[in-house]
Amino acid sequence: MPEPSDRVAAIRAGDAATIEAVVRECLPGLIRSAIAAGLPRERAEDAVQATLLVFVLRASDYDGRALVSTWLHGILVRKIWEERRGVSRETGHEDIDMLVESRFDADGTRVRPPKGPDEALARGELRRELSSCLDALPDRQRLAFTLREVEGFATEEVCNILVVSANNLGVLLFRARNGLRECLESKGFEGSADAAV
Amino acid sequence: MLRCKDVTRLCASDEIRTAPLMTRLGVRMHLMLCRHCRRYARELTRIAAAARALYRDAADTRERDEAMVRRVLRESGRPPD
Repeated sequence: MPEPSDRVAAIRAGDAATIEAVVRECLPGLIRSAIAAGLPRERAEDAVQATLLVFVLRASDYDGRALVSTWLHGILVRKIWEERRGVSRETGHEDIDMLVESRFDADGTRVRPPKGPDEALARGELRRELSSCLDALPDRQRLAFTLREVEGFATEEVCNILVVSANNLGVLLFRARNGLRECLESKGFEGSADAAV
Repeated sequence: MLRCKDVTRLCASDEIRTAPLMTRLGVRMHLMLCRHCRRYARELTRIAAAARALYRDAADTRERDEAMVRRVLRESGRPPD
């Protein structure tokens, strides 16, 4: 899904109203993502401000190949990773087959099936516990997960933002989703059997 | 026939989005027949929905955001009207 071409042209030409609209549109998501990347709120705001400043000053560099929000997220994430050189790229060589293998027996059925129904699952409480489970995830996994699920970027866009292959993103998402699920399960949350989601 | 292992991998890694039609149909079929995988897939959906609500509520800081928009535009020499 590319950015509409008239909008790309307006951005490249530095049209004030368009630039302002982009800044306003993208800012909340960028702050969420900076927080998801592991920055505290204040530093997340600083990183986003720096990113948006780059955008406003260098809007003519935008080539329209990616959505403008994808492009901005890319700038933000590179900025954050650069500031934290040595941030572990722990998923670099991991193979998804190996990851999946450990959870299943030879005929491909679950070693530990999801547990029985729990109808008493209060939404507010799920959120609270989820928050601490999210905090416990490695930064790259958390960010991959929120870019996909909270910001709603398509898989290819997330690959573009994080500069990872589809396979690496698969590993990050697989680990994040199972990590969250197992963390919640360890806190006593169990999905309800057939209730509406 | 897809196994639980395949379905789990396809769902959790997003590989299902680029999988061939037959594979996607296979996942649907498997989910109809297997309550463990059905539960698993539903849990992932619920977790995603809860995360969405969590981040969006936590970031409901419209006034702060607006102040930031103004700061960015001001610093870049493009004050908003």
